[in-house]
Amino acid sequence: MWQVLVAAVLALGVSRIAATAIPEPVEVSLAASTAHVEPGKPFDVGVLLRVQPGWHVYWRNPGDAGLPTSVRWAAPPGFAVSALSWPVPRRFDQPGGVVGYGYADAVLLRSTVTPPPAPAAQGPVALRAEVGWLACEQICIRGKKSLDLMLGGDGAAANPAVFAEWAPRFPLEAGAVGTPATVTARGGVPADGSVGGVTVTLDWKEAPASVEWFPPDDHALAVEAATSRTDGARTLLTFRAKRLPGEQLDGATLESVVAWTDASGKRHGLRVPIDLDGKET
Amino acid sequence: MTLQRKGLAAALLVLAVAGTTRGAATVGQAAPEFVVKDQDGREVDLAKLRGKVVVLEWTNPDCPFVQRHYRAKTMSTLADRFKNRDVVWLAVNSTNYMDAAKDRAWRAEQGFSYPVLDDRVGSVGGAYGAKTTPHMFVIDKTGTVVYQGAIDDDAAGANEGSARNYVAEALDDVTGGRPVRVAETKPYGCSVKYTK
Repeated sequence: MWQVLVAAVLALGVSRIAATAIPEPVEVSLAASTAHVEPGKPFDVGVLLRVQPGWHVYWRNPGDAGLPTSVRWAAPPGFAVSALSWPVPRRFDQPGGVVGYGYADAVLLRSTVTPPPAPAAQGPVALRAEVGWLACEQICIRGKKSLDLMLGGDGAAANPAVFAEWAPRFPLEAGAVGTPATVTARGGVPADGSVGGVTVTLDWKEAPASVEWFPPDDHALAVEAATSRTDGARTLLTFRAKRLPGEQLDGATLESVVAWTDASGKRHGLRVPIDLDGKET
Repeated sequence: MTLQRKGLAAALLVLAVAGTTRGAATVGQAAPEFVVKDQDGREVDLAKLRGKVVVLEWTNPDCPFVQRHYRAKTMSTLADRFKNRDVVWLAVNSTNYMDAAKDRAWRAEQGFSYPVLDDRVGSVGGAYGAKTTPHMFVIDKTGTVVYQGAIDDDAAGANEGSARNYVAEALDDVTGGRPVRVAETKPYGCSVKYTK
C-alpha cells in the first residue's frame, strides 16, 4: 500500500518537472542510400527531421518570419557533397497575416555525395552533419545537433527505403523529361539598385486543380512583391525586388518552387529558377 | 472619456469590424498614429513625439531571436548611443498572451530604460504590419517612416559583433540630415504572436 503511494507521489513530482522542462519538438537522424562506398559512384545522404504535432520547421525561404533549417556536411578529402535538395514545403498562415513556409510532421533534406575516383584508404568513411533549425508552435525554439554517419565498416547500415519514400516529395527540375509545364521568363533585377521585375509564365500541359508558389528570397534583396496568378492552364509568377546597396547576392539565380495538385488531389512540385540577370528563356 | 481614448476605442472598433485587414507602415509615408500604455500604465502618444526621431522595436521576451539580442544588449546599446540626439526608443509587445506585469518584470530583469508598450490586442502591430520579433521601424522628426525591416543582416546570429546594423546606419543618417542609405530590408525573427 505504502509503496503504491510513494510511487504515485514520485510519478507526480517527475511529471511536474517534465512539464516545466523546455520541450524538444524535433528529432533528427541521418540516412544513407548505401552502406558501401565505391570510387566515383555517387550516393545519397539525408537528414531526417521528425517534428511533433503542432510544431513546424522552416524551408530555405522561411517566409515572413522564422529561420531556414540548415545542414552543413563535412566529408573526408576528395568527397564532394552537393547542395541540399528540399522537399516541396507547406504554407503556414499565422494570425496577423504572417506567412511561413516549411514542414510539419517530417522533412528529409537530401544531398548527393560523390566519392573520389580512386579509392583512398580502405576502411569506414565518416561523414558529419551539423544541423540547425527553428521549431515553432505557440513559441519558437532553436535547436542544433551534430551527427555522424559511418559507411563502409562492419555494421554500417543503409536505409534506401527512406529515399524511395521521399523521392516523390521533391520538386521536379524545370527542364526534366515529362515536365508538366513549359516555363518562360522575362525581366530582371538591375545591379544599380533600382526596382526590377521578373515575370515567369508556366504553360501547363494539363490545367492543374490548384497552384501555389513558394517564392525565393535573398538577404541582399528587398522583395516588394511575389505574386502568383493562375487562369486555367497558364500561371503567371511576378517577382519585384531591388538589390540592397553594399550586400552580396548568394547567386544570380534564385530557387523557387511551384507546388500544384493534379485532378486526383496529389501534390507535386516544380523547381522554377528566378534569374535576376534577365537572361530571357 | 478623453478624446484620445475615444479615438483609440474607435480605432479598435474599426479594426475589430475589419477582421484581419491590416495596415502597413510604408517608407516615405506618415507613420500610423497610436496611443498605447507602457508597462507602468503611462500613455504614450506617437503624435506628441513629433519633432523627435522615434524607433519602434517589436519584441517578445519568449522569442530566441529577441533573447539573443538582449543577451548581446544590441537594442539598449543603440538606444543609449542616440539618447541625447533626440531619438526616442519604444519597444512594442504585441504578444497576445503577455501583459504589462510581464513587460515590467522583463524590463527590470534586462535592465534597459526605454518603455515597453502593451499591445497584446495587436492594434499597433496591425497598423504597422509588424511581422517578426524583432521588426524595426525608424520615424523621422516629421512623423515619416524612413526605415523598416531587420535590426541587422545576421538572422542566424553567426556574425555577432560584426553584423551590419541597419538601424544604427539609419539613425546615423537621419540625425546627420542625410537620406537613409538602406530604407528597407526583410525583417527576421519569430512571427509576432498576434491574438487569433
